[in-house]
Amino acid sequence: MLEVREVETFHGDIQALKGVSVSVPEKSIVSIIGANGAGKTTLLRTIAGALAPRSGTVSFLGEPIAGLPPHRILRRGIALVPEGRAILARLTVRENLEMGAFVRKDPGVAADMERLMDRFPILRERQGQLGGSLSGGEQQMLAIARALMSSPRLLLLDEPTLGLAPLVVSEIFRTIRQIHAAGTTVLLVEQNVKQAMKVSSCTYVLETGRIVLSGPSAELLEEPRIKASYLGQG
Amino acid sequence: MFLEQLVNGVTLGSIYAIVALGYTLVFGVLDIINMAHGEIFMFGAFVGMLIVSKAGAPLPVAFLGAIVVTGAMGLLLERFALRPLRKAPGVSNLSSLISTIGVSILLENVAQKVFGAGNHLFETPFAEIRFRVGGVTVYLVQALILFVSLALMTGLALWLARTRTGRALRATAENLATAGLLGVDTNLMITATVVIASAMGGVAGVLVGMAFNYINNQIGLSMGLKGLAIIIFGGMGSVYGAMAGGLILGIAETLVVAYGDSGYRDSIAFLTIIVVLLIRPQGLFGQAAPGMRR
Ligand SMILES: Nc1ncnc2c1ncn2[C@@H]1O[C@H](COP(=O)(O)OP(=O)(O)OP(=O)(O)O)[C@@H](O)[C@H]1O
Ligand SMILES: [Mg+2]
Repeated sequence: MLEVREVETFHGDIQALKGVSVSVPEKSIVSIIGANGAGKTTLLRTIAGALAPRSGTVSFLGEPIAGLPPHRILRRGIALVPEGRAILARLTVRENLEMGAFVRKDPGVAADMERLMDRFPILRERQGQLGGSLSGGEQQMLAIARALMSSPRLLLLDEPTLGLAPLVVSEIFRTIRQIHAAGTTVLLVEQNVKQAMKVSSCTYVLETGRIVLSGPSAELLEEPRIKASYLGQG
Repeated sequence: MFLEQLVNGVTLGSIYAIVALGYTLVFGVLDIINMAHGEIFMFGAFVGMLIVSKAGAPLPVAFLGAIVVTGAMGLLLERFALRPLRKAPGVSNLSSLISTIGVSILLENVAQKVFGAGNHLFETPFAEIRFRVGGVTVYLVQALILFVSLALMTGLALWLARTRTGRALRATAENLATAGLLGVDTNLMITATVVIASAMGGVAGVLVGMAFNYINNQIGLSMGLKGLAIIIFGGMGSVYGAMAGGLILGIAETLVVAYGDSGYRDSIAFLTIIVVLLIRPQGLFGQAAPGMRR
């Protein structure tokens, strides 16, 4: 569904991606793990169109999308839940959700809003409150729900459990499973390596801008290098 | 007498509010002060004057003409003075600010060449018509100014609060990058904002012509400074702050002239700001210091 080929992305003079290739099959969950500064966010932002790659290709459903502006990529069905959630603090919870559906013109928006509020009751409860007044976990739920409002075919999640309590982390992973079960493909960036590998079928390991390891998650979980560096097992 | 002064103050204040809204909208999305806004306002006044006084056409045509011309000026300003700087990597906000200063000087020179330095009569056919409401004398012109500016403010507030595009504009103002990720064409949004803000300046220009019966090429500067004062006073980027600030300044100025010393008229704006900023550094409706907004 998504094919990233030999992508190089720069921040000014700093090269953050040095020829990264990732492929995400339809209806799968793929995870990307890696240390701080490895380039995970850069990769997701490049796919979502917030950054343009200097070279390489990105294709989605067989069509090239690299270099398109974010709103065009979103219209094609890729939604990003950014690192740090990026909730619009001065808009209400409901308005944040409505903004998620900004690119949609079909009549199904209101029904989708109802369905998402059923899935995340806290958002219905807080719908009139300003986004900035929610707790971290609630904001993460809102960020995910907002991205789902565009009814994406591929959902990009950038460290959705960052800074959340263990109970909330489990809830987020449960949500990711549900989203996947409902037919959405997921590309997940996580520092919560073990849980990320458990939900995903495939894992890529990014180190300083390069993919150093990749394969089926179940196999990589047994890989000594992964055990040592990412799972804290000698 | 007092009530009449109050009506005068509200009339003047509602024009100030429209001018200040132009500043605040642009500041909201671009985080810069559009220093050319005062001159765009002045061109609105001149276009209105040409249509009403020289061509003898009715007022609605003057508003329409001013909106079209100043809206187009906003479009050009964004396209040629702001967008190239926004695209360039590593360019600070300061460059856009300087760029708008350049445009303002250019526009003032053009106005000087085309219209000369003196006063121009802005003739409204019903300048002398007045009526009494509950013992207060109100000029038809004042009622019209109030009607136009209140309609404009209400319309803008409703548009921002209730419509899909208005919501997208607020999202863009809060965080450009996030709005982009949510599918807002932020460049289009910025262009629309600068055009709308400029057209509001144009409308304010015609209103000032109606209110004072004469215009010259200096009104851009003085009105520009007051507009700036108001948005600092009301809170940078705050729509309601611009409205409230404009009204407060208009009333304060009128009352000072009526009951105090008219020589202090223009100092009032700046005196009020200093006092407010000492008490509330973020302005009346401001959220926080600009640098801390995100
Ligand atoms: N806006 C920027 N300007 C300059 N350099 C940047 C910028 N954003 C990221 N970088 C650099 O690019 C590299 C990759 O950053 P990126 O944010 O993609 O890493 P990450 O894997 O998401 O890290 P983390 O786990 O901390 O979120 C880092 O070296 C970082 O310093
Ligand atoms: Mg990151």
